[in-house]
Amino acid sequence: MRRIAIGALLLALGLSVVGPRWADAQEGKRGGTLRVATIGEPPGLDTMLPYGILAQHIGKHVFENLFTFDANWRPVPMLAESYTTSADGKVYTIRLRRGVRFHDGSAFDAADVVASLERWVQVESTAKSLLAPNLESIRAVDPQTVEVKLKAPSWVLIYMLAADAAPVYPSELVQKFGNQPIKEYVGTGPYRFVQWLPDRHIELARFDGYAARNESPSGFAGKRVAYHDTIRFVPVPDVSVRVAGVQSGQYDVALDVNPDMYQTLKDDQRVRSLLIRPFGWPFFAMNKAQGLFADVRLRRAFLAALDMDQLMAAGFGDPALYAVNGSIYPKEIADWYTTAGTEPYNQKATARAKQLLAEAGYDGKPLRIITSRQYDFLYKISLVAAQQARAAGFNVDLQVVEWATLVERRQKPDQYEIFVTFNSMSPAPPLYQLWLFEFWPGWWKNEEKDRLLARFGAATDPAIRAEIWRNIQALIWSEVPIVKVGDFFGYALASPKLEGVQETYTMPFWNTWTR
Amino acid sequence: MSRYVLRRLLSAVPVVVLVAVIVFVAVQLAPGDPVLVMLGSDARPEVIESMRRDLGLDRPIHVQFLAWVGRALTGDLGRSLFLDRPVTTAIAERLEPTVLLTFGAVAVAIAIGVPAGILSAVRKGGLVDQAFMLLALSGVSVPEFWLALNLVVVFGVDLRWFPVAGYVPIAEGGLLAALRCLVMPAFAVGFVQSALIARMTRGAMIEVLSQDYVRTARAKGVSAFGVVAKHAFRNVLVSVVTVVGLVFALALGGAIVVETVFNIPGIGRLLVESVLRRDYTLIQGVVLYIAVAYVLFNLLVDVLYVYIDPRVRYG
Repeated sequence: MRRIAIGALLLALGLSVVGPRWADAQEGKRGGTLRVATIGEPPGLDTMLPYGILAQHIGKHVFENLFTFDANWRPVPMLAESYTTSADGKVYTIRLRRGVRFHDGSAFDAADVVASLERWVQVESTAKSLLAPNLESIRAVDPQTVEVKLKAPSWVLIYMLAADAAPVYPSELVQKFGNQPIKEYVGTGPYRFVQWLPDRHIELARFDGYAARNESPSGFAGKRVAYHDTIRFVPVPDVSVRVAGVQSGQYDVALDVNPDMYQTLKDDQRVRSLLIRPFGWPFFAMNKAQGLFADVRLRRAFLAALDMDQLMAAGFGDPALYAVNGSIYPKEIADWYTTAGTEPYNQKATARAKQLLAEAGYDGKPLRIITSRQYDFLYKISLVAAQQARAAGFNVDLQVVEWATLVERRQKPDQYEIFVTFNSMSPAPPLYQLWLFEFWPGWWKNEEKDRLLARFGAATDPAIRAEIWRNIQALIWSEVPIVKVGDFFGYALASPKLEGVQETYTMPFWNTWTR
Repeated sequence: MSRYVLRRLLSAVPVVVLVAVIVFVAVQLAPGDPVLVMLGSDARPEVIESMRRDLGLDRPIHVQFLAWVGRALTGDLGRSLFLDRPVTTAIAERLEPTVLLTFGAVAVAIAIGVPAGILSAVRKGGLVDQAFMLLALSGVSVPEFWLALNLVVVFGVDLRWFPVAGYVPIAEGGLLAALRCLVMPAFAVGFVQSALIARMTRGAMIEVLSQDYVRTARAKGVSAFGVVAKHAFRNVLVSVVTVVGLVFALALGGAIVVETVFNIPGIGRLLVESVLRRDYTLIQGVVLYIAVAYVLFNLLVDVLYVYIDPRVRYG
């Protein structure tokens, strides 16, 4: 008994250290306005379009998907009641929940799902790349049942349907706007869209007709309760003012707080520090199409020269805010975390890098690294990496440009060897890992990778999937299409009066209340 | 007088046209693409192309410019690419806080700068003079955003006298609520500009105080206050008004920074956001608006001379 108790304690401690940071379900207090200070405004709230994390963060309170992620980042039903897969893994039959209504009062049914998913595979980048070529049909079997037929089995479908970019809109809106941005925000979520005053706020209000699930909350899944009457997302571009706003009680939450403020704020009684993990990871994207880094030996030399401890410390300062980790997936996503093939990560081997450069016959041509000050951590990491590469013998030309320029220039293979960027949280590969694909800047063309990805997508057995992913990761560290630097955590602040906050990526504000 | 005003207005036309051309060319030459900003860096090329076509950004620059000029002549500054509404509407919606902030900042600058300048001149070389001029030096040296952030910490976070950020329009919370939001921003801009007014006032006042008619007034037994207030200050006013005109323009510039720090949805913030979003039509519209406002305010200052100084006459 005692052993079991100690084991349970250790397990609990372990989970609190490495597990996803989800709050326990509790009964809360209704009422009030939640004021969330954001870094800016999204271009729109049509989350099928690539409007960024902020659009998804706000949008997920308004729109819901067929599936969502639980506390272990596994997809579970949300608007779906249940689903079955045919024996050959090609046909998914999804039963829908009854009694769900949109904010405009109309009933949710299979026609809405079919219209939304058909639009989704046309406009959403990942669905278009991964799903559209493999899609046979989407049809309504009856008002409560949708059938998705694939050409080849693909387990990724359910993960994709759980991602923020696959919301279900009313079919009338999909018909009205087609593939153009949807500008009327009607969903089935616990909050409905009220108004958007540019540069002032986006306001949501509790949807009284919300049909909540019955299961206990787990991650984004289960019962969702809108305790606050309204939520206001207020764009506050200056981080100091976002912080001061929470300190003074004017805002309840400040998103995107600079990591270098953690040291001074972690013990501030007026605020509560929220560490959001997993969050993202910075990486060097190599231009494999043209120039110096078309030669894999030079990419390996660059990798050998890097000291990831130094780079992450430069980027994020306090070790509480990052993890030096060579697995493409962080420890918090246990299904995909693996150390397979990570030996070349964090070598700190300047001498080896020099040797590799000599073997490749490097003639001192400039190694052009494009970076930006838009994200301070990327800039600092770039500065230190440039120094480490110089020490190994690279003739580094570090080009600091504006983010918009970086995004434009990275499309041009004759203009750089490396650009510095970061990847946001992804629940499963290859979702939101665009660098894996040949169309994305950096242009990774590799037959072995294509073969592995094809097998990976079709593997129905989770154990086989995990094995193939280990092979893909090993190939990444061997071919060096990118160099992952480490995992960083998001940092946000909340009022100490706010209860039920989930310290997770795009933290939801349902099931939270103000004391 | 009206002929002078008309002539001045006509002479402003080439200035405004020049501003329009420079802004259009500069914006187009700057790297970055509004479509990529709107759709995100991972958007598919065909989606990017489709949006570029829809927005008319695939046309040659000179065609875009001529189309814009043609519309601008009819009062139509185009539609904001990002906000999806007419530029004139977007500007009109942001006018209220910027107008209040600019006039508030100028009022603060005058309220601090003029008395400080006069006192320094009267006590020339003394402790008061040195203290005020040190303050003026710090005023011109302190960046507005630094002062703004310190005001936020002291009066917003610690004392909680004023909201740390944001703005409540008059229609929603009344004039007092609106002004309460603008106290710190107006002070941040006004204090920095007050240094300029203080130095100019001091210089002009020292010169006037050495004039014969001041000595005569003193000899007649007019009190020290009376000499400064009734005799000297009237003659200093022309210099003060000139510098206030300049301060108005600088305050507009200061509003661009301070509105961003204090999260005030005004013209300055609109300009900053439109630049970051590469919202071409909005940048052009806002800069044009600021240029016109600047020209008109300068004209107003020139007209004011007539009322302040009877020697000034415009034919």
